[in-house]
Formats: sequence, structure tokens, C-alpha cells
Amino acid sequence: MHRHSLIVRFSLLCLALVTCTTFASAQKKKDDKKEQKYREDPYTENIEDVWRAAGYEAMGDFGWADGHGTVNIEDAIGDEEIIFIETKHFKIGCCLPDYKISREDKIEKSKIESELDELREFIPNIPRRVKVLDKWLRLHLYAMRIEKLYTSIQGILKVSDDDFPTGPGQLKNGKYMGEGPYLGMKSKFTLLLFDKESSIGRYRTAFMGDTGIIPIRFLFPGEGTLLYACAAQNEGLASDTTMHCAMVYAVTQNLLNGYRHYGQAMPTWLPLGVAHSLARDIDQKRNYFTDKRLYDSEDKNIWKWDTKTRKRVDYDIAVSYQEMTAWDSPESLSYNDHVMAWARVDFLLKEHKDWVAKWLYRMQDSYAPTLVPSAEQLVERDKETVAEIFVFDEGDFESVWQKWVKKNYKKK
Amino acid sequence: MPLPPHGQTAKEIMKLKWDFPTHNIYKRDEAKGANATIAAKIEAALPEQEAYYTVAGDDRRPLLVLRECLLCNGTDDALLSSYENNEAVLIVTRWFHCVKLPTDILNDEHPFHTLFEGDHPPHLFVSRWDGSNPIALRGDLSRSELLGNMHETLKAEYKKDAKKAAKEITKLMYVYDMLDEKIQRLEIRIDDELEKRGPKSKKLKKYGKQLEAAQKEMVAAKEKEAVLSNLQLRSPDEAPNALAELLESRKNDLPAGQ
Repeated sequence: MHRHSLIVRFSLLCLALVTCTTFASAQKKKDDKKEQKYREDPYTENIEDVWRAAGYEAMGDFGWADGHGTVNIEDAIGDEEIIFIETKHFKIGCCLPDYKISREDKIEKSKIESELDELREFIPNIPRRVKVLDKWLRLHLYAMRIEKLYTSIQGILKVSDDDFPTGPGQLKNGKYMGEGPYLGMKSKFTLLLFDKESSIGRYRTAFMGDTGIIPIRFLFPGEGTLLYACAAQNEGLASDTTMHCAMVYAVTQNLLNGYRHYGQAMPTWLPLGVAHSLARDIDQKRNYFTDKRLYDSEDKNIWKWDTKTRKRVDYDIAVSYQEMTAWDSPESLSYNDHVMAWARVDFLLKEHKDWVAKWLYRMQDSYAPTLVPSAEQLVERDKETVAEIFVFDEGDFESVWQKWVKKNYKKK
Repeated sequence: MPLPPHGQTAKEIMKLKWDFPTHNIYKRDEAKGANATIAAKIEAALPEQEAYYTVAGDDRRPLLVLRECLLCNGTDDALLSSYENNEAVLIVTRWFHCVKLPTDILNDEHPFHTLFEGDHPPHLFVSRWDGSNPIALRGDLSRSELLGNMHETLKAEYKKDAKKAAKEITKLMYVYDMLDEKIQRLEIRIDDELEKRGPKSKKLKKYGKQLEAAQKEMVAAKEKEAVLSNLQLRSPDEAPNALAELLESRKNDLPAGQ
């Protein structure tokens, strides 16, 4: 597990402060050439044909959300050298620091090398041997990772780009599929990967009207886009793999909530389970979520969710589906709750994937145009949908799932 | 040693809570949609008084203002020491309105540039909410000198004794550590017991009672801390409309037609 000191990042105070005074004047007179240097992508060389061939639709300067653009983001966060690209379904900003690929961490090394091989198919200019992922390379990797995630989510939802309208007020094949082409959202989903926690703080203050430095998911209602923002300085996210898992976990929830346009919050359990399932596909041991036990425990088996579920089912102490329907936001849930959400969805994705698609479709049906459903109405619809769709010959959802767990999850 | 390894609660309590003022230069309310004109940046520093009033907002606690630099890279290193205990500093920051500004604050046109004017601006300083009585916290100060300067400001701004309160809160940090460790150990033990012997295990009742008692102690400790933290500002309602009045008076000073 990754353990970070939350409060203190060590420094040589005196040296830093004396040097800072000297730096002050240097920063003031920043060389224009140097200032622009970071915008040059060594891999696509900013050549339009090359970056378009890599699947990008824009590079550098563009509108972002609800009246602010990339230039405004640069102004708000100060001197962090942020770069932007637009893929088919996402707008991404990145100022992640260089990342040294550790030779000791063989799992991560092999993961990144295989991703780089994949990336070379789109961006051939990437060298054969890479020891350090620079900011541009990290941006290209995240662009590829997030588009792959989009494809996975389309697979779960059993949809393609053609299933969504080009804009508001249109039906698609006689059905309401949202207000725009991005799973039903009007605008592309957005991702901000900062280096500094303070950049999240500044972005939130400037554009979201709130404060805080922790990773966040946010809906910009005017533009109709869902954002996820995090920073390498956030607890645990210095590791590229952990940040990758965290991105998958958070963006999955954004994509599912945006499906057929974000009109109301969905019941927590199923999107949460899908998010964990996809994040654990990246790395089970680095699946990240904000629960203190994940970081503070000495428990070396904490990532063995199948064994844990099995024991709970054996003793009949697994939280019931009925209880899960009333869950609040993922942040309010315990470690055990997260495990149980994953276990239900693991079963559904492996045995009845089409039911997951049907559940998500049904849950995103609009209520009356002006009605914001109450928590009770959401629970009611969840139960109705499960009763209607999750129909088994051999018993109810609860008992069939328990049997499946006993058959498929090991005791130890 | 910079910091003893504290538990979750103490770490959370001692985490610096920064404000990141950006000034209202991004006209988000005027935005109309995807093709809306991107908000224009106001390229001029605010006058000093307006800058302080804007940074302070409604908060009348004294200010602790830090500017980032390329070396610190957004961390709190300028305030914290790598070789001495930072606990005392972290505990007293709760009585300040902590504001962190970006590296480009040194550019003449940054809205809050007037807070760090001059050839050798300090890295951080404390002052009253309106910028008066500033004390620069230089990098070569020892921990005790740094704390002395912070306490000087606190003594002027609060009715109760911050030093005394900080001492008591420091003791509480170790109570929190003990309780955190106990609560977490019991939670895991209950989990393990449930998964090992099931809900009928005799040990569960005992662990449950111990957990409940520890949680009650935690609540009591937090209540005590809240009382200790309330030092009572001497002038909590001072000039509530300072910024609006300043802008109004400036408008009235303008020649006709402007």
C-alpha cells in the first residue's frame, strides 16, 4: 500500500527560502522562449497530420466548460505548465511531473512498456527505450487509457457513438438517448491531471465556486460536461498506476452518470461496482478509493476481495441487496461496502452483462421533465428494475449471487 | 525529527487548510455554452487595500499568506521545517486565514501582486485581515522565532491565550493517536472475527463494547478540542462591508462620465 505523509513534505527550509528570493527575480523575468518550450510535443512535434493520425481532434487552445477555456485555466493555476489535447470523447489537461519507471516494480514496468508499445501504433515517434515518462508522454498515455475506458463503458452499455443524438431535442431510433453525442451528454467529458494540490484548489475556486484540494468529480451544467480532476500530490497518486486506477474508478462513474444525459443521480451500488471492477482490471493492489483502511492497514490481504466476500457469504453476513439500494455517495461507504458492491457487479458482469446494460438504461430514464426524483423514488425504481430484469430460474438475486460466490470465490 | 508519525485524526486536524483566491476575473456567470467567448483576463494588479479585502473576504482571522516558488512546487515547505518538529506551527495555523498564492504573483499584472511587491518580497507573512501589522516570516527564522511571530499576531487578534490552548491541543493529538489505533484495531478485529467464526462468536460482543467506548472517548476529545480552539476574535464583525464600501468610495471619487 502507498503511504504518504499527508501534512508535511520535507524540505531544507533555510536553503529553500534563501534561494527563493533569488528565484523571485528570475521567475519575474521569465524567458518567453522557455515559457513556450513546454508546449512543444516531442512526439507529434505539434504537426497536425501527426496528431490527427494519433486520434486527437485539437491540441493547445480550446474552450473547456461553462465559459472558461484552456487559457483561463492556465491563468487561474499560475505558473504550472499545463498542456491540453482533445480526443474523440475527452478534453484533457495535464501538468503531471516526469515519472521515472522503476526497475524494481516489475509489474508496473511491464504494464507501462506494454502500453507504450500500444501507443507507438498511433505515435510512432516514441523511442524504443523509455526510462522516464515526461509530461507529454504521460498525457498521450492518459489519452489512450481514457479512450480505452470509454470503449469498455460502451461495451458494458451495449452502445456505439451512432446510438446518440448530435444535439438536444432529438430522438434516436425513436428513443430518448440524451442531449448530445457523448453517451448523451452535450459536450466531451473532461479530465485535469495536475501536479500540485494547490492547482486543484485554484481551479475549484475560480471555476467551481468551492474550495478544497482533493480529487473531485463535477458537473458543469451549462456546457453539459462531467469533469474529473486530481493531482500527483494527492495522497497515493504519486504512483502512476494508482493514479491510473483512480482515474478509471472516477471517470467510470462520470461516464455512467452521463449516460442518456445527467438528469438525476443514480443509485450508488451498481456504478460503484462497475468502477471498482474496471479499476481492479488495471491493478487489484492499487485500486484506489478514499477509505482510510486501504492505506493504514497492516492487512496484507486487503485487496483479496473475492476471499473476503466468500467468508461473508459463508456466514451470511454480506450486506443484502435491499440495504445496498439505499446507499448514499461512495465516499460515505465503508471498506466492506465497497467490496460488496464490487462482488455483486463482478457476478453480473461475468454472468449477465446484458442485464447491467438494461439496468443502466432504465435507471437513466427521465422522470417528468421538471421533476427531480427523491431518494425514495430512486430506490423504488431500482427495486422495480431489479425485479423486472434480474430474473433467475433458480431463485432470487440474493440467493443466486450467494451460490455463485460459493462456486467461484476461494475460501483462502 | 520533522513530525512524529501521527494517526488519521491528528493528521487530518493538522493538515493546513489553504484558501486559493483567484479573484473574480473569470466571468463564469456570463457564459452561455460551448461556443461562448472565453472570459477575458483582467491584466492589472488590484490596489493594495482592495487586494487585501478581496483575499480576506468575510474572514476576520489574521492572515497567513504564502507565495509559492519553483523550488517549493506548491508544497508547504516554506512554512515547515525538514529537521525540526512542525507540530506546534501546524496547530497554530488554525487561528489564521491561510492563503496560498501562485508563483506568478511576482508578475506586476497579477491581481494580488501588491501583496508581494518590491525586489525582495518575503516568502510568507502574517498580518491583520486588512493587511495592517504585517510581520514577514523570513526563511532564516528558527522554529521558536517563527512561532513567536505567529503568537504575537494571535495575541493581538484573539481574546484568549493561543499558547495555552495550543499546548492543550498538542496533548490531545496523542490522545487521538491512541484512540485511532484502538478504533482501527478493533474494527479490523471485528471484521476478522466475523469472517473467521461468524456472527455468533463470543468475542464479538466484547470487541463491540470496547469499540463503542473508544468511539465515545473520541467524540469527547473532539468536543474538548473545539472548546480549546475557540479563542474568540477581538473584532469578529469589523468592517463587514469593507470591500463594497471601498469600491463605492472609489466610484464616487471618479470624475463625471467615468
